[in-house]
Parts: sequence; C-alpha cells; structure tokens
Amino acid sequence: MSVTSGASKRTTRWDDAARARERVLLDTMAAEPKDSPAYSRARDELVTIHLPLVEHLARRFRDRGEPHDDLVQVGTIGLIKAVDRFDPDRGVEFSTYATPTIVGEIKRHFRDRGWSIRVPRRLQEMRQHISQATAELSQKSGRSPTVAELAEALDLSEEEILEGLESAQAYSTLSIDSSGGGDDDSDPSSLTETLGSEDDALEGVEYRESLKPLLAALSERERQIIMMRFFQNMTQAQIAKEVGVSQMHVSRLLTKALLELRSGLTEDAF
Amino acid sequence: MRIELPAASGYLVLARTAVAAMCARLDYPLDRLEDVKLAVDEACSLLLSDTDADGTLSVAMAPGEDGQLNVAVSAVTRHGKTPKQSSFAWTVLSALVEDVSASVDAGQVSITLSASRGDSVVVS
Repeated sequence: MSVTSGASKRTTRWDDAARARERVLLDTMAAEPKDSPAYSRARDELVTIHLPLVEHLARRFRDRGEPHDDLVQVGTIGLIKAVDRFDPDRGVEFSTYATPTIVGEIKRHFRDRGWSIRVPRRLQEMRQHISQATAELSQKSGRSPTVAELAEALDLSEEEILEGLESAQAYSTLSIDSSGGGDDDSDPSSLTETLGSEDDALEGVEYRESLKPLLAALSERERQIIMMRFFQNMTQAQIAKEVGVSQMHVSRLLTKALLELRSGLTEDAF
Repeated sequence: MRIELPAASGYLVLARTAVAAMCARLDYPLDRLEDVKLAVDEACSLLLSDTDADGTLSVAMAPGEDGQLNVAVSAVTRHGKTPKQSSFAWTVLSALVEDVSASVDAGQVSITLSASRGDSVVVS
C-alpha cells in the first residue's frame, strides 16, 4: 500500500503511530512468556487494532453469497493465527504478513462451503437469507427457528426454505473437490491436545485406529466440530456458539466431514 | 409414510427431502431437523454399503405424539446382519437421534431412528 498524494499525509502519520504501537506490542510478545498476562494483553491488542484490516479484506468478497459477518469471523481466525505466527525478525510488515493468512482463511471458508461448485444465484441468495434469519431468530427466541418461522420471517414458502436447506449442504458433491490433505491451521500444541482427548472419546469405537488418520486429515475446525457433535453430544446450536460460526455453517461442515470420513473409512460395520 | 428407493446413493436426496419436510411439519427447530436429516442419510448409506446395486431401500416415517418421529430404514442386505454397535456409523447415529435400534427379519435389515423435537436449547 503506497501512499503518495498530499491528502494522505495524515494517514501516513497515523500509520506511523500505529506502526510504532504495533512494534511495541510485537516486542512485548517476543519478550514475555506465552502464559503471562502481558503476553495475552499484547496479543489481544494486536488483534483488535488489525480488525479493520479483516473488515477491509472481507469486503473484497462481498456479493459472493456469504454473510459479511461470517467472513469477518473466519478472517479474524486468520488474523489470530498471523499474530501467533509472526516473526518480527523476518523484516516484513505485520500487515503484509497477515493479509495472505486472512485472505487464505476467507477463501478456505468458501471452499468449506463448497462454493467451488456452481450454485444458482437464486439459491445462493436464499441460503444467505436463511442463514441470517436463523441467526436473528435464534438470538430472539434462544433456540433454533423452525421452518415455518423462517418461511414467515422471509416471506417464502416452507418448500422454498427446505430447498434452500438442502442446497446449503453438499451431500452429493463432497469428496470430489475435497483435498483430503492436512490443513495448515493445526498448530502442533492444539493438535496434540485434540488427539489426546480423541483417544478417550473414541474408546468404544472398534475401528478407531483406521478412523484416527481420517480425522487427522480433516481441517482442525471440522475435527473439532465432529468431536463436539458426535462424542460430546453438543447440539449444533451450542457448537455454533462455541466455535463462533453460524449454525448453518456447523451443519454443513458436519455433513461434509462425515461424508469424507465415510468415504475413507473401510470399517466392516456388519 | 413410506418410500422405496433404488439402492444407490444418488436417490438419497429423496429420503432426505422427505424427512426434512416431515420434520418441518412437526415444527422441529432447524438444528434438530438437520440432525435427523443427517441421521437418515447416514443410516441409508450404512445399509447401502451392504446392499446389492439392484436392491431396494425402504424408508418409512411415522410421526408420533409430541413431535416424536420414528424413521425406519430397511433393505435386504448381503450379510443380513444388524450393524455393529461398536462401528463409527452407529456412534454417529446414536449422537444424532434420541434412540437407534436395529433388527433383522428374513434377511431384511431395519435401522429405526427415534427423534424428538429436543429441548429448547438456549442459543444466545
């Protein structure tokens, strides 16, 4: 981002101040132990001051059928990763480093949502409306809305809502474009943590040894959601709240992950 | 209500759509509806994995009192055995609906799912 015109001098000065603050925070993170309050305060502030960057990047993806709030949420996850991984010694600006991570996370969200598959615009918009209305109605009533409630709120027929819901899933299109490969968002510590509790959770499953590598091949978020739903018996609504994504997104990730597991698992279930 | 489908995964959309419509009739909240849909998909896929391609999959739905919904998925399978309760698929089914059971009658294997509207879980 080069700034040349005179009108943006003030911006440049502000940037200088922000950059200086950023430097202080990065130095604090480098100097303090990771479990110290000073470290987490610096980390939080770094995240907070770069939220406008996430907003800005998320806006680049508007009109693609995903709610802006969802994009900001996943973009923020990218920002947090960037904060945690940034190495000041490499000599690049933090924003330069963070941008591809944030954009990557947003793109991954689209990939997760299966937008690589062409969906008619009408259905894309309907999904988006359903997702928004679901969030709003859940907020109001404290539970997931019914199809009738959604139909009334959106002035659509129940049939149209059902069609929208089915299209929001990826039942028939999965595993074709799913990379299946590991994901870059599993930092080693959280992976070990997850795998440890997975061992306990999978205790009763006969084919857990063949299940484990399949679970490991899922993205961190999918694995987390699978464990929460199937082994900790959390509801989709609870998971949505815990993970910070919409319930429809949880539903879709669950379906997608389950299909991947199913196609990979050669258990003899009978 | 009962539908008979060719034993191929491409037809499962019909089972899912029917069960979703039934859940909507019974005023299921969206997260429960998606759970039941996923469970039916899983149960059907489980049976399909042990059914010959020229076989038939049958899905019967019976709404009961208080939003109770029983869905029985059945097919004549190669092994003619009920799924193992230690399988991953069974774990998934048990988590998605209130109750799962399986039975065999003359080579016809049935998986019965019992779902309810669920508690009004506080979201916010």
